Amino acid sequence: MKKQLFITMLKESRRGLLIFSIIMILYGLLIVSIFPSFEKSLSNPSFEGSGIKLEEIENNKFNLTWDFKRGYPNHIATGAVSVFTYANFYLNYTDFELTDDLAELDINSSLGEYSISILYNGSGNHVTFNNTDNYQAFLVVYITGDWNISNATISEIVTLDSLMAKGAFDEYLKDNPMMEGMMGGNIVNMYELRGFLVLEFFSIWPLVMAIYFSIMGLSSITKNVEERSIDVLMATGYTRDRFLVEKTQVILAKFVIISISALLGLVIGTMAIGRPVPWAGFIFAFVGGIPFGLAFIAIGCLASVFINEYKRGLGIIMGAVFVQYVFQIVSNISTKAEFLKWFSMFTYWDAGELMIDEKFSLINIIIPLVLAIVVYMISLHYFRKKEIPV
Amino acid sequence: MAGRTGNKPVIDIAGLKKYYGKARGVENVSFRISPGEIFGFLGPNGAGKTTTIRTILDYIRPTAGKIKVLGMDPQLQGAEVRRKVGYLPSDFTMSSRMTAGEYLYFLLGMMDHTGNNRIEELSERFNLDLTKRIKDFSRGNRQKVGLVSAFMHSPKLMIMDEPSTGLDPLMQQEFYKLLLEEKKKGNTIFLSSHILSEVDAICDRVAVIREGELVAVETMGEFKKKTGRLMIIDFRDAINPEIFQRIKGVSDVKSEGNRLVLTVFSNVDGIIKLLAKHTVDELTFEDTSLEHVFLKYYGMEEVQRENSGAGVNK
Repeated sequence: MKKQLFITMLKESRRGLLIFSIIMILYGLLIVSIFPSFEKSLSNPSFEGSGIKLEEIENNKFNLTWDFKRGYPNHIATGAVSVFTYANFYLNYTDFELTDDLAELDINSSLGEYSISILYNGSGNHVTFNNTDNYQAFLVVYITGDWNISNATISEIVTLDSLMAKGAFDEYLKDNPMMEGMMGGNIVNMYELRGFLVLEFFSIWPLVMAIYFSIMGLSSITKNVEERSIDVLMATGYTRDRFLVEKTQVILAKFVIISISALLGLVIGTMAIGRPVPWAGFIFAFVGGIPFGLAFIAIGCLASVFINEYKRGLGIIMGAVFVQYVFQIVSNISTKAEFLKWFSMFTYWDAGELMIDEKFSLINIIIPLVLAIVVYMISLHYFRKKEIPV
Repeated sequence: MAGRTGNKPVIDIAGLKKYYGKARGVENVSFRISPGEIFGFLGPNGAGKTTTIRTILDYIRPTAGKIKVLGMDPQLQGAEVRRKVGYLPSDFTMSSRMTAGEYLYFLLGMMDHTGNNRIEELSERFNLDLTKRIKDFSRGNRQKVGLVSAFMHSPKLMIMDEPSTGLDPLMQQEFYKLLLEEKKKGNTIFLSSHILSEVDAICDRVAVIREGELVAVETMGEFKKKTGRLMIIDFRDAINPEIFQRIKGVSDVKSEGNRLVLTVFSNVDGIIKLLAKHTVDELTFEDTSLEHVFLKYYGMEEVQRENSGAGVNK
């Protein structure tokens, strides 16, 4: 038996599908392309002042570099526990006695009067140090070759605060449980590509898929009923089961094509930034979303069987998707509301777990799959009984 | 109310009742249509014509009653019934970027029809451009696509809901011609309409429905005898209308100046002979209105009920 409805409907939607697939490829590409700059700014943080740069090269190990200045061959790099510590120093650094003291002090010794420590004394332009004393602010004093202090000058002050974006992001997530909830409640390592994609791509992707495919499901019958084209299509002798099944097959084909497009976007993007493609993580994340997608398609089909006005159906379907989305967020935020997660399909597509752990959770497959099958069977049953209105 | 004897009915409806919640769709509708008949289903909008057709094709389910179409029960074999029937809905709607040709072949494919088809022949006959996109079609052209789709697979039974809607008079005539050809081939046509002249022109029998109830099922001859036609005569001079009232088969004689309007139920021989004695400027016939038809039937029903002593609550 030729699947005429399936073939024709898929062919009819090829233009829209092509555009949507291209958008998905570009979306995946765009998200991955952001990663290098994100990684640079957060996982290897630095702050650059005018002629001075502070960079964290590994945990609590820093590199302070500064520019050379003509006529100032002597450089004294200093650190202080607070930027305010420098206030008094700033006023007095041309004092002869101070300079004398600075010149005599050893590395890591302290200029007690000002609570400033010497990190470097020499003619070079950088120093690497472990910040065990928890210095927060740094500057370099430039001194002339003859140590004439009246001609000394200083660099801008750089502070650790400016390097705290990475920590700040984690702090931000902790202070904003809603955002943490949206990102699945498990703070992954987003300074690594897979973790970054879990937060930046897979926090939104399930919502996009849920909305798009539940609307597709809704369209399967409601659109034809509202446009009154169902009479003509059914007049061909299609059984109601065959009609709904072929319509659903069109949606499934779109689901596969769009998922592959998004995956392709991520793969191409990863290759483009010169990183190894985490194939297993990607495959697990996308395949793990199949039961979730099927559940939303089935929910859409069920709505389609009962609702004859497309706009009303759209409102109900969107409401159902967003309620589930909110349930998932709330269940991640509050332990009291944790039970709500069982009522949300979003719980069952844990892209973070799939991407990072590369393993399927049986419950996350079985629950949405069973729901999809049951809901779809109910849709078929009621469509057989449905009165098709004029 | 049976159709021709000796033939198994193509459509057999007995005691059909359809309620939408508490609202009545149709009640106690019964009729049979024999093979080769053109059966008219006459009634004003909202009378229950479409409801009856939709139950025949299993789009909706009856509250009570039995339906057989081509020997099948639509509730059990709805798809098979629809496959074997050529159906034209009252408002043939399509939403597609396809051309008319692509759409018709798509529908043919859905029918799993592999034999010859009549798409090209019928499109030519109805001046339908198969290369145009259907979304750009006017209502009339959409209706033409519907007509072709109903006939393209050469069904033995055609069910048509207000089929001439949107067709221009020339196309309407072509359509009636096509129906008569189908009848000659022995095919059956069930046609709903609210246009009396349409039913009059092509149907063998007619069922009249009003407010969900069948008022009558008659042959066209019986029907015309009961409903009559309006005859409008413009005389040169004033005339006494009473002389026309005495003619057999004439009723409702009204005069307005030199114009005389009367309802004729049988042949017009007596009237013509009388008219020959006067100078007639113009003579025209008009169909009686559907409301007039109903009044006739209700009037008869009322008399019958009064005669049998039953009250009338209409």
